[in-house]
Amino acid sequence: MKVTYPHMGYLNMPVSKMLNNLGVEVIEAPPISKKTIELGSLYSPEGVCLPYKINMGNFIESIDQGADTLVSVCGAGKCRLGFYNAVQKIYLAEKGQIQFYMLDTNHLFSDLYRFLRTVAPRASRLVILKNMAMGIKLLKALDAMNEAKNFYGARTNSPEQIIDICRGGTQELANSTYKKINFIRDFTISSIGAICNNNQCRPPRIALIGEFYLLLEPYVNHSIEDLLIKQGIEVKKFVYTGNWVYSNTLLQALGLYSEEKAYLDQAKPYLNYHVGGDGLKSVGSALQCARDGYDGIIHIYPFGCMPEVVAQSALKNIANDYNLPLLTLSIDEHSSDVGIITRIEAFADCIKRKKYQH
Amino acid sequence: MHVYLGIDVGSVSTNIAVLDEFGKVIDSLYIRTQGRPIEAVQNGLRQIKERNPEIKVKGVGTTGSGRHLTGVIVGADSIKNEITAHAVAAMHIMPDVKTVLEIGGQDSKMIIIRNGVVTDFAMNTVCAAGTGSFLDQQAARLNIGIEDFGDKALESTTPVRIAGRCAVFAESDMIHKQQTGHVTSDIINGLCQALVRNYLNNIGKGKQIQSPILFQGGVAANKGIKRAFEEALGCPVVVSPYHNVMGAIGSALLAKEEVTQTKPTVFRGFDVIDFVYTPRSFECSGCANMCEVVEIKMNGNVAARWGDQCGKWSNSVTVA
Repeated sequence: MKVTYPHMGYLNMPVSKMLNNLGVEVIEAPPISKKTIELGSLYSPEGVCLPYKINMGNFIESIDQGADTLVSVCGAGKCRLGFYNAVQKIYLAEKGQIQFYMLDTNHLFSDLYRFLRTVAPRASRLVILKNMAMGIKLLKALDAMNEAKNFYGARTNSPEQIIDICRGGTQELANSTYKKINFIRDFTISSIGAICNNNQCRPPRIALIGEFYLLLEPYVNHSIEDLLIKQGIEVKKFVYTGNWVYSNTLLQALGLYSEEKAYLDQAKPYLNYHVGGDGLKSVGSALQCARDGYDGIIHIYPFGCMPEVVAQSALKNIANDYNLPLLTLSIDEHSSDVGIITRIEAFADCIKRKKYQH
Repeated sequence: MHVYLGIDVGSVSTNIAVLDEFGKVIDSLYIRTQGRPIEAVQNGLRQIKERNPEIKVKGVGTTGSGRHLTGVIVGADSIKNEITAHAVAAMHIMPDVKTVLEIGGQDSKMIIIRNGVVTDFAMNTVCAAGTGSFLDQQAARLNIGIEDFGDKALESTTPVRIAGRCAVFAESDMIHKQQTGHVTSDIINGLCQALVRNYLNNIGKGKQIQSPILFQGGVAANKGIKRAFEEALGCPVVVSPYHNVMGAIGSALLAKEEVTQTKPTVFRGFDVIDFVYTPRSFECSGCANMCEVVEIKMNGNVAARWGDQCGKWSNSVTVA
């Protein structure tokens, strides 16, 4: 059995570690490239959203390298993600005997545990739970480093250096042991902090909201966070893999947290219903930022993403009421980086000039 | 005379503006890019130099989709996106402007300005219907010079309804109307109104369009579109006297800011007119990203490379 999974930001790191520790053979898809997207689009319905196509590309590339067991998440009743696997199965059937494992986001903890028990039957329960904890810890460390990068990167003259340090720390974490995770995290964050030479300044702040996959995968969002940091703008993101996995596994399993209820309260009165996907969350986070005095909102989603299109109307009302600039980026496989970079640069200029002239 | 140059290399046209130290426009030039930006810039600079032999350049700014390429070719002090450049120019020409409508060759944008600060903007995303290239095409198809397109629209008394949502459907709609016997001027007027409708529905959605309104970009020369805007918005729309070179004016102003703040200009001088520039592009095989790297050689030496994400190629250039 050779297991593979689609890429999404740095999620592959804890997943491959977890599986390797449990003695499962892993064939990781090559990093997302133009070829991945081309392959994925070739085997996908034309109108489907970009994350589907990239997932598909990842699967095909790893199947070509010998993978025969695919694992992915689905979120039944939320958006098209719920049907990804059903459609992907049909398209991939011609590739031969392939085993599909789905982790339902509504029962992430139990599904993940069951999956690990199946692929690693000889591992003890304790070892499996330990590895799940390691995965969450690793993800949270990566999130913390990324947040530090976004915070200090906007308060320095050499943001490139900070981005490099963060990248280096990320690679180190990939090879670290459980015990060293916190050490590497703290060391990276303090090295990042050391480069920050203007702790007192208050750079413009932008809320980056939108669809989950687009926010987390730098290849498809054209490293939008780094682009903004280099313009001297602090980026605040509300979607982090670690936090999400943590609250959707442990906390939810213990009944301490319900993601949907939290956002429903937050988004009132601009959006009072679940619209699927992350639509409600986008609106809720944007409203919170508007009230906190942020300088702008960037909304990013895959072209044709229904929940985010609904959210967009609510976002326009928020932007209007709070007099906030709003940049909407709808991305598909044809989006050229030039167009996106131009818009981001112009948006950053607009916000900076506004802030510093007042 | 000390001047600042602004160069705007767009999809359809390449524009150069010459501003004196007080920001007054001394000369401007509008030529077609014709798919060869490097030659267009060299050609434009040659004409500027011939017309103004006594100028001494204190700063150069570039903008437009060809801004990075042009920045390398001429040695620019400021390389800025066209939205910022257009906003700066609009506020320079009309200090109390509140809304800027801009329609260029392949993009259209709206810039909202309050109290001298850009507060919001929008730019067309997936659709180019209603931009200059489409009008160009239709003018050619009807065998009317693009310069006369607007006047033709003004002759119309009863505009026909054209679907402006999509360039392809707009064209088939126009052909259909022409085959059923409508007058050309009415069809053109209908097209103008359709394009304005499309612009306001897409780009202007949710934006507070307040007067004074400044209309700029190549399409602002089209009187039919101007009238359609005035009818749709119910208030006067001012066409900037330099509407087709506003981007260039803005980038010259940005260059002026940049140079006074820091150091002397990095302009390579008018010698660049005769330099030999050879661009090439290749796909880097260093990693899975497979970046498309562009390399520009100036007189045989590598002047710049870009397009790589990791900096392997762009940082390896030492010639400034």
